[in-house]
Amino acid sequence: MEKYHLKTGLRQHTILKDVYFTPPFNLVEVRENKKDLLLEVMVMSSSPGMLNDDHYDINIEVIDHSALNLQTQSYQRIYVSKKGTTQKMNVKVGKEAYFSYVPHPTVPHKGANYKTENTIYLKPSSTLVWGEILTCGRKFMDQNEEFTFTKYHAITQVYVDGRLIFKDNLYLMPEKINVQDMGLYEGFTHQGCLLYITPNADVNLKKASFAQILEGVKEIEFGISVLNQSALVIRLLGNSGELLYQILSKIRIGEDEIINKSIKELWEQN
Amino acid sequence: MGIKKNKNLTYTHSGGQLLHILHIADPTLPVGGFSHSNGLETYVQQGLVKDVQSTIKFIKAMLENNYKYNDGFLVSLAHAYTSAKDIEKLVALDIESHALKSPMEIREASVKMGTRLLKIYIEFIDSSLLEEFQHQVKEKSAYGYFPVVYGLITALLEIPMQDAIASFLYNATVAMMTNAVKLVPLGQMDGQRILFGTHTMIQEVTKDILNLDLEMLGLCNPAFDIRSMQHENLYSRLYMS
Repeated sequence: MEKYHLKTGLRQHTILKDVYFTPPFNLVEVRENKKDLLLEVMVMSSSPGMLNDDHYDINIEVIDHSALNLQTQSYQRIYVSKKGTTQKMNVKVGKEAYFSYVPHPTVPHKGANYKTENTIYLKPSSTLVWGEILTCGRKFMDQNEEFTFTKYHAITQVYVDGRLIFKDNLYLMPEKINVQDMGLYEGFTHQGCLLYITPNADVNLKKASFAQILEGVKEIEFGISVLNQSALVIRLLGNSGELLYQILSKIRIGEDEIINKSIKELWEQN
Repeated sequence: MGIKKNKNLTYTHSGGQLLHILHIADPTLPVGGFSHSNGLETYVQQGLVKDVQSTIKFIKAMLENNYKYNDGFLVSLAHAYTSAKDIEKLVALDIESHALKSPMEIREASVKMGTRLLKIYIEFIDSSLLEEFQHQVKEKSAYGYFPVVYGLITALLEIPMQDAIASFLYNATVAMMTNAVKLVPLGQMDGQRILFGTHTMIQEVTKDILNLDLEMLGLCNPAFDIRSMQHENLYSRLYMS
């Protein structure tokens, strides 16, 4: 089992308090401006991707009042596997804490059999930016590998104060369910989802500003809808992992900047 | 559990249940089913559903990829939890329904229909489980999602689970077909051909639901979600979803 655990700490700004990882992982602080209050950590991996029997175990704890952005280094490749590769990611975000995570797209190669479970525990005052992008596999190979993976199953559950408020259950088995059916991919090859939860902003205004970013993008279909007075969800279909990654990253970076500014103002007030 | 009113009315076993099924699955039941297109209006306005063939594709995909893993499966689970008198699981299922439906209008449509269905049947059925569920909806610790309430009531009426699922799917199919006849538009006879043509599919989907693993609950149909979300911004709308 390969794993990494990360817990934030708080001094003048958010710091890496506890960090633990096993090969192939390495966690590196990548905060460019050392004055920034938001901690930025990159997960590096010396492995080309998830191989047979790999099981990744990830634990993230963002303590009260701290702010973390977790980044990936490259696309997550999932190779052919009979028994299947799995990943479990648990995230805890404390009171008035912030966590943003828009990883690079996942690429399930031919024969890949993958299951991932993400469980996120929030407080009513936590802020979350959580993105996921799935590609159809290696698209531009000589032998086209679109949707030739065996199975891809991703379950994401988000709890606020112990109550389930969002669940995404993405299950693709191209041999059994035709992904091009109406209602599924409808001719597209990539999909993305972004969950945004904020106690501090007007979620309808956020919806309008995110929609503005999305409306300017060609060759995608998107939907954006409010979940409750502090949460919204964006769903995307497109033909390029890079494009979907750019769109969701743009939203993520915008929120990272807002949180950096607002923490700074809070510090200056006190 | 017992029937509150019409106590003098005695049914033969099968006849009684048949009438209960016909009643609860009747498309004219005043729960507001015909105010909702569940995304079909977007498909029609965008020219994706435009004739008999594309209507059949829509209904088939909705039944086989959406209803099977979502509302149809929810009916069967709610039915099972009710038979086991497990109010906690029933409420947790209702909360899970809320978490699984990301388009706002889909959530609102289902809660509107579910709470109206609850209101109708609370008058007829004497059951502490039903009262407890309604209480939790009132207290906002549950929502009252349509398939959950449907499963709850059909179980209390002692309608067998597979009939509950099949009648729910039939009711949903009639709604899709009727909406398509109005929106596309299609001829009345086209609509009837489509409906009759789905009977086998409904039976197969019902059979599949009975054997589904719990981890298959709520599988996402990205494009259905997207078109349902886009419905919020359509320029002219006849339907609420």
